[in-house]
Amino acid sequence: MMEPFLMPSVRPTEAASDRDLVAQCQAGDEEGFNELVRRHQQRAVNVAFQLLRNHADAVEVAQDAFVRVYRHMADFRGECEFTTWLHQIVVNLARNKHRWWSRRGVDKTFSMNATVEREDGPVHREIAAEGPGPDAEVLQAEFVQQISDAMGHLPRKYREALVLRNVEELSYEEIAVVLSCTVGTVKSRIARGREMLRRNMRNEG
Amino acid sequence: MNCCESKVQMSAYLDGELTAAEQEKMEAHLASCESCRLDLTKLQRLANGVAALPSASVPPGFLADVRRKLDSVGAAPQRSWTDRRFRLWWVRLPVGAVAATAVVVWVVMLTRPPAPLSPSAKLDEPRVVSIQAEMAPEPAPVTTMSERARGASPVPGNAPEWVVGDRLNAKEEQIKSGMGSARNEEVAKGSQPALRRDEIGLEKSKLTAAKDAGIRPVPERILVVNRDVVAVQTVAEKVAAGLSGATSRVYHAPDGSMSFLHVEIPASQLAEFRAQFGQQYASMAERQKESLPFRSTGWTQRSLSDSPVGATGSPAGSAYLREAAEGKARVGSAAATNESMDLPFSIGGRGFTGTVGPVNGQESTARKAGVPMVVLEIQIKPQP
Repeated sequence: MMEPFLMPSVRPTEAASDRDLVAQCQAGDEEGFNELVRRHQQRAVNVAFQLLRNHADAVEVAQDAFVRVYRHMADFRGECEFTTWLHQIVVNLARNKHRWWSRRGVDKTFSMNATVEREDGPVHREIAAEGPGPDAEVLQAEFVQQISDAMGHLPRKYREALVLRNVEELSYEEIAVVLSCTVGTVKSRIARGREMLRRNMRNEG
Repeated sequence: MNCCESKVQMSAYLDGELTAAEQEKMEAHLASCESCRLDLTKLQRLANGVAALPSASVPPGFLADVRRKLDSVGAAPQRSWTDRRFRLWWVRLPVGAVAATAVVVWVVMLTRPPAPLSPSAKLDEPRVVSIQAEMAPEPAPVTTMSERARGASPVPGNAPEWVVGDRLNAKEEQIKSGMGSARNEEVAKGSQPALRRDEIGLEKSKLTAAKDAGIRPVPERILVVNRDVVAVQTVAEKVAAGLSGATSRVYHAPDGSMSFLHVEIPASQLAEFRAQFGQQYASMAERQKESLPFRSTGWTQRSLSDSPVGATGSPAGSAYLREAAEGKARVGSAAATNESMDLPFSIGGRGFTGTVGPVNGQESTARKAGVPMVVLEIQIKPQP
């Protein structure tokens, strides 16, 4: 029988170490904060990017998120993992940015494969090639491209849930904390999101 | 389990989020249903595809940029022993409720005439109509940052940059009436029930309490247009925190269109606040220009005269003021905190995020001592 995906979202050693760094930071050690940034900058930028699909805005949101982390480190009491807290901040700031776009009439259903605005360097494409040969890779790349397009048309709440689940590999419980909703809502958003994704892809295909 | 139930549960099964019993049922069904097995394979491929979406790279100098931003917005908020006490729910809940009530009181003072109402009174339509007719639209006296730097005065013929003190009263009256009219329109449409007498009584008591506490309504609004909302907010909070007896509260419109910072300040400190805020904002804007040339920043000041119906420049903000004026503003427990992370709370059924609480955990000792206070509203609009 097929095994369900059972992936712990935060490796225990990493989480423990995050706690140490947070404590270090709370004690006034700046290096603790620097290490937290270095460790989680990729995560923060990528989540923001998946939600906003604009590199410059994603970087800005990620940086603002770390500014917030720094300024409110004293308030963080370790009731959730540091990464959950960081995700929460990034998602909130990305929402603000998205609303800001919406208010100005920027395309709400932005294409996930639209030209990516960025100031330096390319956006890496990390495509998991399942097949051994180049043909399989091309097919997989096309498939991911279709998903990318379809994700761009998903309502924000479904996109958030799917990104946190499949890109960030958070558990439903962690996603519920990040999105301030119940586990049942997360379950339903992920299921509906995937269903909508499938429908969108069928329409486009 | 049939196919229909299986489809509902399949996504959670894929993520390993079913209970043991549910998982067992699902697997028993999958073993006997080829169609569902095929669906599961497709769903898994879809999930793999999402996981394989192109990821973004971190630009070089990311940490340095974070550090620069921190320098720009200042260090972490000062912490005092009161913060720890404030985290306790049984302390923060009542304090949050008081803070929320204070916001409501300010708005009520802006929007509701203090005159006693008859038992049958719902809303005094005739008075509203007559004053509404008096309200000719006034051009906004906008002064930009650069104009200020050149010492330019606002558009001739308009109200002065800052409307404070007695000049406020006439304007307040107009605003109160304007808000009343907006509400009446809603009542007329049947979307909002008229206030009951006891509700009006409640609001009157709040109004009296506010007057007793020496709180004046918002004497002026400063509109700040800046891409970095957090930075502006921090500058204002820092200035407020540096002045004796000042407290501030932050709240954000749910559509992200605007944030508000209400600074409650001893009336005698108002000029000092303006001067310091102006100076620090200007210096922050300069730093922004140097480090991030693509940012455009601006700072305009609005007197009350250019927001004749209490418009805050944001539909959500206006709605909030209206709802607060109707006594429907309610702040949920999540807001009863002084953490300035975006925490969701609700006012009149409308979701807001933000902070309700005294700045740096400090209660205003000045207000307690009976010093006359004013409330200054800083509206922060994001702009690229």
